[in-house]
Amino acid sequence: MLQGNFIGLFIAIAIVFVTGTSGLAAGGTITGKVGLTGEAPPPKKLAIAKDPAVCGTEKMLGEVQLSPDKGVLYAVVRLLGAKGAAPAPPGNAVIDQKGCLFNPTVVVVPKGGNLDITNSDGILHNVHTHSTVNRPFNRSQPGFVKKITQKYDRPETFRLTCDVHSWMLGWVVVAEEPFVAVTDGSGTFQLADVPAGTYKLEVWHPALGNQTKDVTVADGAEAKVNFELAVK
Amino acid sequence: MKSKIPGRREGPTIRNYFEPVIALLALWLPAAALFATAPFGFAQGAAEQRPTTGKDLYEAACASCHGLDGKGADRATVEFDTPLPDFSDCSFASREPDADWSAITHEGGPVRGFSETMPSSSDALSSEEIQKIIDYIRSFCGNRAWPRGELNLPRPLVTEKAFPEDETVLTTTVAAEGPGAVTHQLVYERRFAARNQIELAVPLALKRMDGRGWGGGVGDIALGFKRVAFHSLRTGSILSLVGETVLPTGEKSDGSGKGFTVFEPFVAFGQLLPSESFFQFQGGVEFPVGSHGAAKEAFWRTALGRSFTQGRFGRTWSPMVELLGARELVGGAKADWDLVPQFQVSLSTRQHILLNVGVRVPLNNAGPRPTRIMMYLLWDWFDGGLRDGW
Repeated sequence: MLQGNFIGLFIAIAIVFVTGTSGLAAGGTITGKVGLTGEAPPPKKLAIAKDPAVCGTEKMLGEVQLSPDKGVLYAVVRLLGAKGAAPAPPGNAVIDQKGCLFNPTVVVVPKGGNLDITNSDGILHNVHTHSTVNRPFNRSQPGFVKKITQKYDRPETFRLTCDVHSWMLGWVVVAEEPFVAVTDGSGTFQLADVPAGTYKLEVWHPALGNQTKDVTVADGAEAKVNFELAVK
Repeated sequence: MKSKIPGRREGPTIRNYFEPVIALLALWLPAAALFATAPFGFAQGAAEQRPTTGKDLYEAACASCHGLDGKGADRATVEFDTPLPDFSDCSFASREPDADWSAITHEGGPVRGFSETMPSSSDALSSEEIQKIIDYIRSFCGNRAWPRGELNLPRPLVTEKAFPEDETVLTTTVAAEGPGAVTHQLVYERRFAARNQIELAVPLALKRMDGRGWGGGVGDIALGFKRVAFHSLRTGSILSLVGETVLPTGEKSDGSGKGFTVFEPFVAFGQLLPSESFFQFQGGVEFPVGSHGAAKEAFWRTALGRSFTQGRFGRTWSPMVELLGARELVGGAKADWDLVPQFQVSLSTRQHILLNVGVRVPLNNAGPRPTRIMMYLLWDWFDGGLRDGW
């Protein structure tokens, strides 16, 4: 009994020790928000006849998804020219097919990493990748196939479609940059543990294009970079 | 944790302090979930279960586009550029062997030069499951009168096939010795209904004239009708009866025509053999009509060959050898024998454009019959245009 308590204590100390030290890594953080200048094109209403029980009978499809305070969702922010190895991926990147939409709309796969394409819908989808540098494929994914895993070795941004449900559109960004993020539900992003230095920070959105800004990162400090994208 | 990527599990540093708690929960939650869901295990949707029968597999993996009835989903629901095939249309569905259906199901449309909208299923389905699906798709055409594509054997250079075709074939024969002589023969075959085919053959003969360059013209045009008398996928056999009339449209004087009409009934037989091998036979008699002195002639032609597939689903190579015999049906006549080694290869990805090259070597009585180089280009126009499917 007593021995058991000691082991428990030991494990608890070990956990605190291991996790505590990892928080002391050198480098700074880049945070920011991607905003939109002007009005987003209004979403288009689409009546759906295919698999309405799962897909619904109509969808509002917008090229730009905004948070209530006009933050741009699903913009990819990456730090160009940063040295340092890419952090070990915490697991495979995941893009899910749910309600006959790709979720998230944009997914980042680190170069050499795996992408899991999951099917939460339980109906037939076909995963059609329009890659040109990596080998493209078009694979059926019946409801009983929950996951397709594909490794991506070469940096590239490409579209993902489903021929069964013609409105489905997703984007895969295979990034060689170790510091890369996709904006969250409020249009913000964070790149942590960036080695100190001056860099170019690039943002890309499927419908809003690219923008690049300079950023200087100091150890232990937070650099703030906001972007304003405009409808083209 | 340097990236913030939606769709990936996050591990912000702030959560680290709760990790022991999370670890406990991580142990507890799945156990609790297991406990909670155990009584409802069968409530999962039918589509989520891996089907076992061909019908259920088809309905889960194919019917969304190809339709529950195999006729193709309503154009209003799937917006494809290319129309979907109708699996219940026997004329379409019976023509190709399982191997082609399997190739397309495994690898997707492009493996046979079809639309890239048709996905590959080799990751989603096992080969056994794909075979079950193909067997089920075959049931959409319930009419057994249509001979199956497996019985459609590679076309030899000379021996006529038993399988009815929709084809255009241009055969060129060049004499390898003696004065120059080239013959082109254009054959047009058109299938109708399950077992019938009509045929038109137009020869064009070119011959080197002494000191006058090349001369020649249209030879004897032939019209034929073929009917499949028997076919069985189980035994791998197909037998057809053919009647052909050769009209004296050529010139007797320059050798491009016989100068009289010939009626030519024959049988054509094809047999599948083990290991992608096959045997073909054609035998009949030529009856001269309304001519004085021309003898009847019996002919028999056999072909033995084997098909090889390049890679798993690639190009087909079919080496064959034909043994040809003919004999006038008069007392004392001797049979002429020819041997024709050759190989056929599919040129297009769809396998509807084929090339065959061979040499026709006389085995006896070689004087009037020089060694000839033969080749044909075959276009199965039912399967697609000349520029489709590459």
